[in-house]
Amino acid sequence: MNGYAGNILRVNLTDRTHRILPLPESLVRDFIGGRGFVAKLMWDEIPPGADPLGPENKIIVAPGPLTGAFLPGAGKLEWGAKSPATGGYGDSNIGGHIAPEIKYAGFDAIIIEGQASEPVYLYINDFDIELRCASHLWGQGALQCETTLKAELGEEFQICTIGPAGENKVLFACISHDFGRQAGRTGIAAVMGSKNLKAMAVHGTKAIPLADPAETLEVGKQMFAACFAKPGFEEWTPQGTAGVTNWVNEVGAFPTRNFTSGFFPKYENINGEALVSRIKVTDKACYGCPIPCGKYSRVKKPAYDVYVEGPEYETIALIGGNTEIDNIEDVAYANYIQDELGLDSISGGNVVGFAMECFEKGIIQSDMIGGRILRFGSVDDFVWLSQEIAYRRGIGNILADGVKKASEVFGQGSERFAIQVKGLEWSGYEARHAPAMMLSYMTADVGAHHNRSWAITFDVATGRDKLEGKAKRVTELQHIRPLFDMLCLCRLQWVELGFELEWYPKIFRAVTGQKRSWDELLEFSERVWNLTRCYSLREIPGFGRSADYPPARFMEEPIPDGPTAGKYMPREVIDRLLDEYYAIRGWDQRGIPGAAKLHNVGLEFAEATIAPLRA
Amino acid sequence: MGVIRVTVRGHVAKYFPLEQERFDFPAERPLTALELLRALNVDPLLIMGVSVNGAKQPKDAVINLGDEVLFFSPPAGG
Ligand code: SF4
Repeated sequence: MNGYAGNILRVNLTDRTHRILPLPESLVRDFIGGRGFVAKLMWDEIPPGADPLGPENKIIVAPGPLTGAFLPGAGKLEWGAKSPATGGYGDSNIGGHIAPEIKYAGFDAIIIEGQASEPVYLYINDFDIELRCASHLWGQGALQCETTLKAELGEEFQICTIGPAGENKVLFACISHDFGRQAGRTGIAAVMGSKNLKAMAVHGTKAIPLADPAETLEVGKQMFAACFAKPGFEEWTPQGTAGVTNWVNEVGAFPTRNFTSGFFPKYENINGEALVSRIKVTDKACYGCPIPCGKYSRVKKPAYDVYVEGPEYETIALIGGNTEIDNIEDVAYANYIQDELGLDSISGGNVVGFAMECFEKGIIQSDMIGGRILRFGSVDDFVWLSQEIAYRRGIGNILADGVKKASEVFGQGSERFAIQVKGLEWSGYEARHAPAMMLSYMTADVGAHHNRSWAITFDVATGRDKLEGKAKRVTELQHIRPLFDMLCLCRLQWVELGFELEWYPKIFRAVTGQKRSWDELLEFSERVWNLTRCYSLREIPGFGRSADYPPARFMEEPIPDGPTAGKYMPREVIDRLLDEYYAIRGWDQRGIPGAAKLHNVGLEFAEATIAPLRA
Repeated sequence: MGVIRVTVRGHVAKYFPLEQERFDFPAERPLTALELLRALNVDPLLIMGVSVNGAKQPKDAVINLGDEVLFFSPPAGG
């Protein structure tokens, strides 16, 4: 099959065996790759009701059909597992250079199952597959572990690791790669930790069959040239995503003080200009990327001197505004600490902000944290609490399960300001005056993450008080953006430069030989969107509409200051958005896909599971 | 009568007239970037930054006839 290596690697950690299996044609035909493979293999492979942190959960790793080919941004890798954070569908993607390496080693997917009896790492050198002892790596930081393995194996190996947070099964632990790229969301690193899997090291030398090599080269060249010719191309790179910080404050959507507000008065101390002028060393790109968003920085103060990739916008928002750390050096240092501990800095900043508010409200008291205090704006408190969480010490053991579960332990109304959906912490956009963005967060299949649909400019363009058309646009974006994750492409060339979507069917055809329009490819994406919904319906008792609501703060508390002062989104507005969204999707008002929808999108196999839930 | 050369970088181009990322705007006099955006019926809040003849400028910067103005979309992180 052109575009595919042709194999799936199945690794069993319990009995330390592996098998190389042929890639099923039906999987390619119906699910394309990447996120599509992850979703289908999770449905088929993970037993219903599996404990996310038990041996029966499986980790699925999948590049896509365009991975490693010659085109911009073809270096993304999809990770999936039943999420310990949400109990439902979980995936997260990572950039860097490991996805092509997995394809060159000969694999379109890796299924990791069982549980090792002692720490191991997965060594893949083409078809030379081993589970190697990782006892000397256990306990190392995520970045330190990559350094150690690079020294042992050679620079040509691409490596993913977990830090102490993953080892200790923190539910928002992240997988780290390339010294600062992360598959951060949904807690898949905790699943690795539960399996005693510290790392994966990959080197590959094989070729990938292409339907039309000459055409692939030609279209690839044209795509790079088209990227370089885009207006404003040069201005994008210096700040990368950090460049949006000013704008998000201007529109009053910057998470501030645990999402109390949407405006941080000191944002100019932590924005893209501050990053470039005070700490940036150089730009850093993923495989085949013409517009490197990664910023490599050095922060040097009397108390510390570290290098870190970032901080990118999400980290600036969640570590900066959300905990009110008001200078770029301390944000970068806190970013470094969480990277090394192996904590997702989105959830990490969200959880620490939640804890700081709990302390302010007397829900966490000084005697519960060894006589300390927890202050918004204190990098020392941030770093201390991050360590307590990563090692599950004291109050950190409660917070390590995320804000939803922690608020259930703390009670006293803390669930009102536990800023999450489905158990996944909210990322970097306060949405009380942005209905499409709010709906994007509410209905993202993994929980409150922005990468399924980023609709805030649509809100600004079409009217922030208007509801008409919002559900439709969110639905469209939920098919477009995740399609990039099926192809395992970076979507930033499209969103940041306005790179035309029409290029992708051209290169898809040159690589795979399959002639499909963009709209046809979107139909695959809709199939996967419905499958991930079905997965969470299957796994979480009572899942459906009730899992799609934002926290009470957003429905009841007006924003106190800034450009969106006074705004909140009452429950009846939320309900109207959901009603429209479900109707467009062909789901019933409990958020359950109808039989006709499942049939129309080619998911007849899920009907027997879903039908009883409709009764 | 002259023109201001307009370029839009990124996804908000679809909110400009004819969804174009490059076009000439006929103008009788110099305009600020804010005035130009309003004349194009584009909410200035949609625009993250402005550059005029290659130099970054605030949104109230004056654009003369014959100038090239570049409007930046906000990066849609991730
Ligand atoms: S834009 Fe950023 S995330 Fe995307 S491929 Fe380039 S460096 Fe990687």
